[in-house]
Amino acid sequence: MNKQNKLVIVILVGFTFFTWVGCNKDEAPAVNKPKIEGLEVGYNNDRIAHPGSDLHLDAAILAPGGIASITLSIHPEGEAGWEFEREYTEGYEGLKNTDFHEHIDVPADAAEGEYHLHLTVTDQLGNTVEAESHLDIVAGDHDHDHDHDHDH
Amino acid sequence: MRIIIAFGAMALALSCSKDAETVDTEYPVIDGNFAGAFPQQCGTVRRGETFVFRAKFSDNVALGSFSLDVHDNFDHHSHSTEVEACDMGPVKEAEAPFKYIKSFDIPGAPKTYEAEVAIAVPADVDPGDYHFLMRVTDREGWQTLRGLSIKIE
Repeated sequence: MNKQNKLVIVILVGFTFFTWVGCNKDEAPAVNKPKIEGLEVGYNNDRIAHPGSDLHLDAAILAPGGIASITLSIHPEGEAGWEFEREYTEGYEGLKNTDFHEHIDVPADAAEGEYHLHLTVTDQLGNTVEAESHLDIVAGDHDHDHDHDHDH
Repeated sequence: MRIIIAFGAMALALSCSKDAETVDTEYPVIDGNFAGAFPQQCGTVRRGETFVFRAKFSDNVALGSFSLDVHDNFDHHSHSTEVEACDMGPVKEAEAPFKYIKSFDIPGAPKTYEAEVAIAVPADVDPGDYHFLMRVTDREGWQTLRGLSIKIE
């Protein structure tokens, strides 16, 4: 075997190694974790809800791993008050992106005060992301949305 | 010389085809700008009549399903995806708002699809401002939302 052939072999071994390493990287493409953008709580994101009315929620969700579930939970800052928890899958499961738009009925007897809201998205790989917001429940006169069966 | 060919073959075998692993990241497309597309932004439908929704959907790989969601906008609410407002009536309370929410499968995983759905609007629903949302999802799970503001007279 002459010198030139040896050199070619060295180059080929190197090339083979690099293509193999390169291949391994491609085989496990990292799937981006889910994201929640533009969470809007209440009309114009005023973060105010009224007992006996409904709370408007809107958020853009991106989940390249596919949405497994979306969980909404609302709890009072203090010890007592209205508690809400719901898992949404219908119409969302398997999607890679969506506009989460829900109206939550706030019971007429919900105590006024400061609340906290968490929106959690879990993708089909088990990754989660959470967005949170403050929420005030205030009685009294409001401009819109008095109640009725208006829960789109 | 044989050794060189052997290494060349090995290099090819160990490398992998990138084409086979292409990930679909393209959203489906909703086209409502052709003659016959209905309803149009700021369009009107009448109570007691049936109108036919028409739009063209397309995707780079395969379409999966679509859904329609018509609900009142008496409270002038917003969606994260821009729904442009029209000349809206005053904020009012809903009494018997029209509501239509339905999902449809797109059979055969086509790349293009022309949707046609007859929607009956009862005579006794509240007239006024409504949102007409259409969501199209491809087989991969990417969803495109398009919203229109319409009026029911």
